[in-house]
Amino acid sequence: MAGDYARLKLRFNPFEPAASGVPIFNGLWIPDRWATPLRGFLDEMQHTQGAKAFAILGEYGSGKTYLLRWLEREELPKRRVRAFFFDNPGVQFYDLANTLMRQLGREEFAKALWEFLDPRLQGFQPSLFGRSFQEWLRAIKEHRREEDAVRELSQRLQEKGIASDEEIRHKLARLIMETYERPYFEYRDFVAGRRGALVPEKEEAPYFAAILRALRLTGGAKSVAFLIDEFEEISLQKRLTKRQAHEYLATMKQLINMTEREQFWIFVAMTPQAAEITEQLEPALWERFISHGEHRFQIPPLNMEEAKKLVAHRLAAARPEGDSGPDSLFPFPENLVELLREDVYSSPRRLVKVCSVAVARAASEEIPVPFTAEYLEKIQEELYPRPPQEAPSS
Amino acid sequence: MALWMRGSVSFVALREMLSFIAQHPDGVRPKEMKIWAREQARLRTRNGKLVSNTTIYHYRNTLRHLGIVRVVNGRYQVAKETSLVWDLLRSLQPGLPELSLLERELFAQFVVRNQDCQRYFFNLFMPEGTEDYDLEGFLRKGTPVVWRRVDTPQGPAEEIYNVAQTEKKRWIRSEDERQAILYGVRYWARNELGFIDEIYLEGMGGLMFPVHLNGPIPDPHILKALREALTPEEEWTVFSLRKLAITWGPNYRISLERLYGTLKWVYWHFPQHVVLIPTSEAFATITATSSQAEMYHLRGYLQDDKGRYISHIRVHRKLREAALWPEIMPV
Repeated sequence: MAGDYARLKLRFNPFEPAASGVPIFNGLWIPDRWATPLRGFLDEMQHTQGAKAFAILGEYGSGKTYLLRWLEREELPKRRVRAFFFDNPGVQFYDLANTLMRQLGREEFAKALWEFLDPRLQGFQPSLFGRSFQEWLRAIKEHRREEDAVRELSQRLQEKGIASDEEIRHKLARLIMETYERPYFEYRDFVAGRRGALVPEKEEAPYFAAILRALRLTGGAKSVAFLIDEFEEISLQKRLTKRQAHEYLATMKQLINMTEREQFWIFVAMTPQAAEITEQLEPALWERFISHGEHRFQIPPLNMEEAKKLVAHRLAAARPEGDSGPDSLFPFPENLVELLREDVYSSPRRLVKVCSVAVARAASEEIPVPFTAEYLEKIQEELYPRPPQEAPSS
Repeated sequence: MALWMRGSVSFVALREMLSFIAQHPDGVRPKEMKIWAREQARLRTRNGKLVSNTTIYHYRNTLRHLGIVRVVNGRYQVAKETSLVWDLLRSLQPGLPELSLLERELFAQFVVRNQDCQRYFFNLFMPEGTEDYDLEGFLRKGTPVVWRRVDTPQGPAEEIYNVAQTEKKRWIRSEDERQAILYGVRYWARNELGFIDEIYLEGMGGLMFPVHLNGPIPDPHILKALREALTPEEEWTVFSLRKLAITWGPNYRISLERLYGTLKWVYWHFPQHVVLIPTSEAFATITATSSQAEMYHLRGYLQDDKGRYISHIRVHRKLREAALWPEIMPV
């Protein structure tokens, strides 16, 4: 590993340089002020019949992504909720399906569904040793029994309670069968109305509900959750057409409707302004989404104690075994947070970035430890310089 | 009868034209005015184009309808019988690229006092029963008005209504009205003379409100309001800038430029206590259908030195004690 981390009592730099990612080591830690309302919501959701949607609001760098990852990795699995993470999914409903299926992988999804459905074709002898998914597909192909297989899979989809609509069952059955020729998804698979599309036209919601049921049942989960990050970055293009803006709202509406009918939860992270605009555009929809304000969490900026704990947790994960350092914040001074500006320590991204640069530089240069106030001040000003002091003229 | 107010009118050009007419006590014929405007003064429209014959017509027509000039035997003369015209003549500073504050104030007086402008636009801002008001009266009593485009059974139309008295409403259905009211008087008041300001709100439309033509930055009333709005129990208070704009703008009759200028002043002086929260530009313009509409939507946002559009700010409670704030002492 590059750099001398040993004198810092560290094995590696536990702070991400870009400070926009989420650490891959150890458990994720969040302040109690964040965890308590979210755990309360999760407990409530397990027994509710209404909309299971939750909005996480926060400025850029406030920890929205981190919080979603915490839900995905730490909290939802404990409740047997199968979580899927989406980053800037797009405005259309099938954009979500596309992202989801690509995340799962076609072969994985088709295989899991096939195993769960356990199709039996008449006059098609099961192998003595049991066939793998690929062998089954190959055998079907060789014996030209595709149509029978689609019919059987479609029948089983109904029996297992995944879908009742004929077209949806047919599309899902085809999705399994055609995996043999093409074990991957293409975007066009999710463009409704196109030739060969794997999704039905104007049946987005029931089709998606069927997929959710399949995901839940094949994974032995109680519920499925979508964690949607940066909902406001809905389009890579700068300007949305009127139609796209409409689709964005329609997608949101369909998702919420689905949470009412299915064992399905959604968590959406957005900036306060995205929430404000959505509320202004569709007040009734927004009220339903956040359950009249109960299902909304505005991420509070870190206070001094929380900032200190965040740094200590990160450092603890990087300590050499049996060497916890002179104190929990080493190589930072004990009064680290007092030395930083309020606008810096209150923002997780800024705090992590300052710490990252401080550790990285000290690992390659002879920086005295614990770090001095001047050293930290210098880094802070380099990364987040104060604006010019001149006031605008009147 | 067709309305005479037109959006192509530049008040800088009106000043130049008035100054030219004032130099000719016997008056100026339209043809002479045309030669002067296009060949000597090379007057420009608001968009910077050399004036056309039609625009020159609109300029002299505007001066005439506002009562600044009159026509005697086919010649345009300054209407010196009114004291306000004398005030305007005394204040003229031809040749400058912008209007002076006094010029803006005096032109604004003519526009606000004009009966057509009142009837078609300014009356919507005024409380029921208000008659015979001038600029001061408008700035003191005017309340916010919204305009928005609506699809009606008769086709698309614009609706303008008073927010507090929704029954005070005007429908704009013809292109003549649109050019005269929305792109005429409204633009004059907002862009040329600066005594109304406007912010676009999704789901509502363009909210317009009267604003003082000038004032200090930082504005002491806004500093005081900000200080009082900080929640002492919370370490940080988050403010939606557009919500501040639609509350403090009409309350203090302060333009977005001065309001946001004041908030920038606070940020520049106390950066450790103020965090600017940028917005996603794509989302801020989610309902815009053209680049013009996009610019119109974005004018409601504070733009910082890095060019980012700021939708919210968060302010630390320490700001209350951070300084003695001499700027708010006079309030």
